[in-house]
Amino acid sequence: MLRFIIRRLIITIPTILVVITITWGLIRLAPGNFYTGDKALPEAIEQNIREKYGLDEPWHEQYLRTMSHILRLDFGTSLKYEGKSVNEIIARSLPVSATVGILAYLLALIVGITVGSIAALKQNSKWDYASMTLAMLGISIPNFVLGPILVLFFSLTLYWLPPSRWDGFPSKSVILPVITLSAAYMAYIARLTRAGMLEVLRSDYIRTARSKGLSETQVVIRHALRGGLLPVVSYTGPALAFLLTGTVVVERLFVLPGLGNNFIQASLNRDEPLILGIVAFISMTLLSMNLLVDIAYGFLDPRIRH
Amino acid sequence: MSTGNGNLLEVRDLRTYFHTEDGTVKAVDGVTFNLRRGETLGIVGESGSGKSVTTLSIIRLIQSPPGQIVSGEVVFDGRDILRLTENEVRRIRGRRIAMIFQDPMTSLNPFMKISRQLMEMTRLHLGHSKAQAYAHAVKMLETVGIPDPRKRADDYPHEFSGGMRQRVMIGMALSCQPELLIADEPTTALDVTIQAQILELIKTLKQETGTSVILITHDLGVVAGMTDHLIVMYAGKVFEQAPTRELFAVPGNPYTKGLLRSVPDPTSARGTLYQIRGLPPDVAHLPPGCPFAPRCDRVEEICHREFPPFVRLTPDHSSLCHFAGEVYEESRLEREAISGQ
Repeated sequence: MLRFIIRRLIITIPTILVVITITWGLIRLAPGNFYTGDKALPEAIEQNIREKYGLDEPWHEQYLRTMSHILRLDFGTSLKYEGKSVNEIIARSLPVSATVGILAYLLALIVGITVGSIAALKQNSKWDYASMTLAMLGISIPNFVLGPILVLFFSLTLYWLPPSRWDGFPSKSVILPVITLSAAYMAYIARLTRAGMLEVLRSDYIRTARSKGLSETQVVIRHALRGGLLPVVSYTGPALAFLLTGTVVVERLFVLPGLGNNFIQASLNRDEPLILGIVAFISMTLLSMNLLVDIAYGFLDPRIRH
Repeated sequence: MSTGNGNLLEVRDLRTYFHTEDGTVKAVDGVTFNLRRGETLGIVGESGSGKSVTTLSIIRLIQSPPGQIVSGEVVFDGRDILRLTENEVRRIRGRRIAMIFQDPMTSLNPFMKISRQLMEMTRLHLGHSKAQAYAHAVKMLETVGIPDPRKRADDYPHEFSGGMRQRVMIGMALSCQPELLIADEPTTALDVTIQAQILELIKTLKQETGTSVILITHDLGVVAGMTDHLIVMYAGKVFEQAPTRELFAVPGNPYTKGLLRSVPDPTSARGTLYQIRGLPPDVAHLPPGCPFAPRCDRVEEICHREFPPFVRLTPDHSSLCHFAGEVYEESRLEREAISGQ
């Protein structure tokens, strides 16, 4: 197990380097620069800026310098917010994204697993059809549609919740972003749970459990849930990574000062160090979540532990 | 405890139907039999003849929907199981009627230690504490011949071979000393040498505990040495019913005769092996007459037209056939001819 974890951690490093290289290449391929604005700069000033940031050096030297900094986890300072280090910006915006993300994650898990289990246990009943129809809607409606609809209804019609503001947690301002963000995940988890549970409930060992005289609740909780939730586990790891690191659309919609919003700003500003920093951070989170899922799998399923 | 007549289980006119999109499948259609205390009853038949559905109906483990026990009585120790509440049935399952299933590879929970799966039984039914249940689980594993049971108890099912898993299943089923053990094709998924060991184990444990056994199988060789009584099922109906020796010696039904002739005889290596022609019928769309008529060697016009009567040949030998008497007589003559040689 330990060897497995170490091996996986070693593979993580080249993966992140590849991701960063591609991101760096994409930034450089795009026309324009962080200092280009509406008005053209005088030649001399442009020359000064290029020298200051090393843009006059050959591209491979620039690349190697960037990479060597990143390998030392030094992402440098933002080009736009003078004097602010990238690490500082990430540290300030991560809690916002993480708060919304964890809440959305918990909501998606609790509601998704409950609804999915009920649908599986009462297969082909009206509960099953109703919840699966809702789940289909949840998956199909993009969050940039769902968000504004919720705002229109709860904020601009009923005046219950603020349309876009961040007052920290706990506050009313959390509710709409969390619901918008978790809807699709919730729906997907419900469908995964239902499918997983249906498969397990038909299996031989569930028949054995019933033949032992266990109650239906004991059969489901002790025998069925574990196997039924395995597909959910493999999905929720990466899902948690995406939710934690903020989502571009929802943070933009509700004007949350999180990672996602910073990422958009950085892209619009062509703020290369900040973009690379956020990309590196997100990929690291994603890869560690995948690793966590694999470890959790080993604990849940004794057959793959060996 | 006893009902007086010595019967532990009396099944009367049991009907279990499955309502599918393809029509109503009459998986079990009017099955009647008795099981005496301490006796072993064999149920034989091809796949889809209703053997498993019959026994699953006895402890009410039919998935509903689509399954439904339409009518009948299952009198176990004087009480009709079909009329009990769900809670009352649960107290019988595992405690008084235990089951083992065909595929030991999939019948144990792969996510749970063997010990926990065994402990579950006695903690539920006998009110054992954790320590008591664990000790009992180890003892049961020892009884069924698991080597080094103390160490193996905390292994997972995938760490056992197929034969060992079936031993674990048997140990689990017998852990509350049930009065009835239902073994649904317990050896079908195992290879031949292991089959013999498992059958021997069931036989020994049965003698030691006095448990009654219902043994379901499609292997006539298995039932011959194991059972006191036999039921032959076809298309959800009992085709023949007799003490095992009698049924093997003088079968009173063309289907049973066909089955017996299909068993390879190792003493005569020559000739082609007999086989019953055709396939088992689609029980959702049965013809009006005898369900076996399309495959029967001695079929006559009446067989296609009328459903056959259940003929009583001797007090404990009955056969579902228009010509049961004639078939029985033929068998007797054949028997005499062989013994006269």
